[in-house]
Amino acid sequence: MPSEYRLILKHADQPGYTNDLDCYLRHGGYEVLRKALSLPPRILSDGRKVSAQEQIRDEVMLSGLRGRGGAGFSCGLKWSFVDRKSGKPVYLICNADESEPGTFKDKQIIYKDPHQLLEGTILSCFANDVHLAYIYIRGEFVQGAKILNRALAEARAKEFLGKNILGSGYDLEIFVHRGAGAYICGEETGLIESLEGKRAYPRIKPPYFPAVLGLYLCPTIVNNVETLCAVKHIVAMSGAEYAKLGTPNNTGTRIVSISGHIKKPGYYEVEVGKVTLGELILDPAFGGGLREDRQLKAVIPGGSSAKVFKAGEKFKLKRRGPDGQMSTVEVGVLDLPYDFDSVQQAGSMSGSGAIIVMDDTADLTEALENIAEFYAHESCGQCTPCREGSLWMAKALHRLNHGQGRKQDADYLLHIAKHIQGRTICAFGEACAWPVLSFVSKFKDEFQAKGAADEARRSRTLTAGAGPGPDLRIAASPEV
Amino acid sequence: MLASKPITITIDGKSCAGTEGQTLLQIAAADNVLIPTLCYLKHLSPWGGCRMCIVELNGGPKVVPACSTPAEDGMTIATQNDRLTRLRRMTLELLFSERNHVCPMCPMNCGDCELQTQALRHGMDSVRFPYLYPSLPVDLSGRYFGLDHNRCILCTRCVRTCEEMEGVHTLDIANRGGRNQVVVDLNSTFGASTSCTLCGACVAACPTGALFDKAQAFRGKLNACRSVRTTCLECPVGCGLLVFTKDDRVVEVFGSFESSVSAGHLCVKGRYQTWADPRRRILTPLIRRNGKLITVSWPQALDELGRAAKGLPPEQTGLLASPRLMNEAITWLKRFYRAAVFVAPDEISLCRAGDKSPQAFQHLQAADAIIVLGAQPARENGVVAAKIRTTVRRRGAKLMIFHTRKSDLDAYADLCANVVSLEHRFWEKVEAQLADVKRSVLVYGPAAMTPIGVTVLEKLIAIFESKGEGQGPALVGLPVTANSFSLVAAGLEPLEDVAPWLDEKPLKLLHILASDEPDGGARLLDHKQARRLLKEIDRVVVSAAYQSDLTEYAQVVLPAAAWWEKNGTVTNFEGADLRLEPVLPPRGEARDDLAILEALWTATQSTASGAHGSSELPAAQPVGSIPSNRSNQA
Repeated sequence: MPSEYRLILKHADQPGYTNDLDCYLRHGGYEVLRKALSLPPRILSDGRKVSAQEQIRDEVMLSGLRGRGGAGFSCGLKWSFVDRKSGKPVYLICNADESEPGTFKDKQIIYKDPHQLLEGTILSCFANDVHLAYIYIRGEFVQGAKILNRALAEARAKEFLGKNILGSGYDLEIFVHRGAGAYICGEETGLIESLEGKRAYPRIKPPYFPAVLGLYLCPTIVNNVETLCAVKHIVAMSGAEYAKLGTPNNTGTRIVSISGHIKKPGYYEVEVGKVTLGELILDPAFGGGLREDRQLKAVIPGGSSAKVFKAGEKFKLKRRGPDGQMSTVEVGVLDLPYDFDSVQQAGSMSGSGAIIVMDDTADLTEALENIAEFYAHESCGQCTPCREGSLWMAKALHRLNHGQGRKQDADYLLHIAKHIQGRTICAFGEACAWPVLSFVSKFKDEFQAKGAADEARRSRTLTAGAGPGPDLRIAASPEV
Repeated sequence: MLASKPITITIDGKSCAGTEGQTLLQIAAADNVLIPTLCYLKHLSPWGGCRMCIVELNGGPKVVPACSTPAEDGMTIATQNDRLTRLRRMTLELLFSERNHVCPMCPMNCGDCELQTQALRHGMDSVRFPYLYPSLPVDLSGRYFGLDHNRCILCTRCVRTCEEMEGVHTLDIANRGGRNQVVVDLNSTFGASTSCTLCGACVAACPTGALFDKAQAFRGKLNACRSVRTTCLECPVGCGLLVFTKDDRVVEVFGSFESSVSAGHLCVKGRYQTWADPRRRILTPLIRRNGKLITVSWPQALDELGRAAKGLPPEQTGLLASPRLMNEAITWLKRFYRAAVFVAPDEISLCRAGDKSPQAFQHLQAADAIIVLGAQPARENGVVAAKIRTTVRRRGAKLMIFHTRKSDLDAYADLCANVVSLEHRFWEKVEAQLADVKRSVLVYGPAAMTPIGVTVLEKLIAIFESKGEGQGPALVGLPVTANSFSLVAAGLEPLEDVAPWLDEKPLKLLHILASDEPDGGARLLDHKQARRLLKEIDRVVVSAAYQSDLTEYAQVVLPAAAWWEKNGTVTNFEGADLRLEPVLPPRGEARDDLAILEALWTATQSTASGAHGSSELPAAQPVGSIPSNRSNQA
């Protein structure tokens, strides 16, 4: 029987748990930090000393923690890329610019347990010799920024932050920076530009990898809120213990945000890979199933930019058996284990852990239009294909939903989307192309039918000689 | 610094050599492989946004922008194939459908538009997307150039130019995605902009007709124009110009990237003010008859001159020259018995006290602190101001300004003080600012030579001396007039006040060579007693490009050519000899200063009794290259 495994959100929803420091301290808060700061260097057999910082980094590497922001990149590996010999200061940025449609996990942590985030951030900073860190919070989280600032003041008053933290000689300052409401600021290099006070145009990689040339062209670590919280638990329970949670290569717990046509939308913390997509949607412990007399039609497994799954789709997954042999298994959508690798092998991504469920009442052209308009609005405009392509996809979908569609529109959309992906500086190009590519190719008949119906209706009005003729503002779609 | 590691990459099957740190596009360009670009300009930071320069990397399906991808040893790229052409064409179609690109109505149509050229090159004869036809404004409020958003492709070349070359960041992009728009200041207009210096570098950078010169639009296509490289003589910097002319009219002015001085940048003077000149030129020789100046031919005027000079001993013939003369004319001046130069106040002491400033721009670019004393680069030497601003913005260099008049540069300064009211505590601040500065530059102008300027200078020298050996600033001296250094080097008598010179020995004939002095030489009249003394002289001959009050004192007026009509060399503030080529033919019957001097020489020589000097041409000693023994360091 699958159930939640609450690690990060262990206390958050307990009755009587508040987001102030006293409550956090009552629940054992900042004990891990105290322990870590007084960690003695470990002497290896060859006489080499391993500092407390290196020990923490090793633990994080050992834990197999993967970034919870979207890309699922190994956190330990990310830290190991940091250029520590440059002589420049290293910065750490907590990416709290949670704005992927369907995602609402970081918000829970910030609003309900901000000190856990601070402790995780301070630990991560300590491990990477960071003395100045920023929490870049989404502009719309006005209350969240207030909560964090209060938490920072409380932590400073108790010497968890500032000069000489807890008498260890370690200095750290953290500032909260509110974004101005742009989705692109969630992209790490865009976020860095924004933090520097510029327009959030993502930087060109190479050469601007944040680990080498990040904030103010200094080495910079950008981690998601949930990732930093997980660091606290890794230090508390050791990397090896943490790695026992979840499945190999997909360790630990993660918070899944489930929304859409289900009975119990909300956030659920689960062990990665121990629960299937179907269980998350249908099990009473999680989503609680679809509403009465509704059939599942589509699932977006990882935030609006992930490729959609069609109900009944089958995937071939490669599995390493107990004997170490690779074998291929066929699983359906609902039996797909919800972890980074399985969802990726199924052709999509678990992204920010946001599952959006659509039942048979959903009009997918309208759903896609909603997504496409979001991306057209949020494109920064730096790269031509994304700036123009996202706009044209939104326009085509808009006319398809407003009686001006054409049969070829489906191919037209695929044509533009294919031109965008892989042709842009940042991953936004993929983020806006993937939903269109997957929606249209998997539900092509629906898109074509809608376009054909529009065409038929227009030709009827034309032959009847009544009403307005075809809208001449819409030129022919391109041959593809 | 170690030399970069050589690397080899394969471009379209051809092996190309480059060095580590170069981008794919740089190596390709060095090997004459043409990769189409739109947002790329080689003197700006790469943008990587337009996606025209995409190339296939290592034979795979992955495409990368060549302009921003650093080359790695052993990379294989394909720059031309059907797939890439298709992708580029699609990008072009998106760009065309985005705004209102109505080619026949655009001044850049047929050759001057990079977007159109790329479309033709890629066979994009139609757009498969319906046009958006957005309603966009046109900003024509600017003095010299306009901004038509309908033709903008958002390549941000103007934005980067404004930031990286001029350093004012007037332009930026507003809004998101498809609603992106270039904005002036905080969504203002060029006419109302408080930060725009009107340098016009954005217009030169624009690949389409979005930013265009108002006066030059529709005057001709660049490929049908004559192009001339010359040197701007509006200030002592001597920026390189690339001027396109057609039918004896200027069509477009660009900064010459071949110029070692300005490296492609210009200020409002060279790019616009010179050509949009409202001053009235003197077009023909004039002689005074019955108190009125009447138009005559050159022979008539020279006859008159000959008659005036007849029988005059050389000490009664004088010559007053403007410091805007070119080196060749200065060499000629020395043949005359009494020749002097009228200069701006304090300018000569500047040219004598300081030295030429070789590599001034390199020093400015690498400076940690810049001190400006008694100079007004923002008003007088726009390109120097641009370099100061970009260094301050890019490197965070400290800027200290000592002045008597406010300037636009003050907004960028860490410390800014009026030299008249300096307090002791101010010097503590200066010392604190300079404490950990390694490379500093002192930019000084004529006002640094005034008593109060010298006091400040001495104080600064003391501060630098207390910092220790080798800590002194590099010196950049900015005279007022283009060729002042040459005049001093040539040993001509410089006059800040002409009255004593005129009074010393009464003259019978005075020739004033005002050349193309902006005020026609009328500033001479501001000198005390000058008007009275000029009236006492029997014959005054004025050669000038512009009409002014000075001609009221003249019996003969000769039309002089302006610098863009001249051929010759000048020596700029760095000590570099720069070449001038005629851009336009002389207006009316105007003649070069050299030709006027020659005519004058012949006229006076043939009639004067026992004229001074030999009748041979003066020794061809290049004035500009007189070696200087002083070191550039203080």
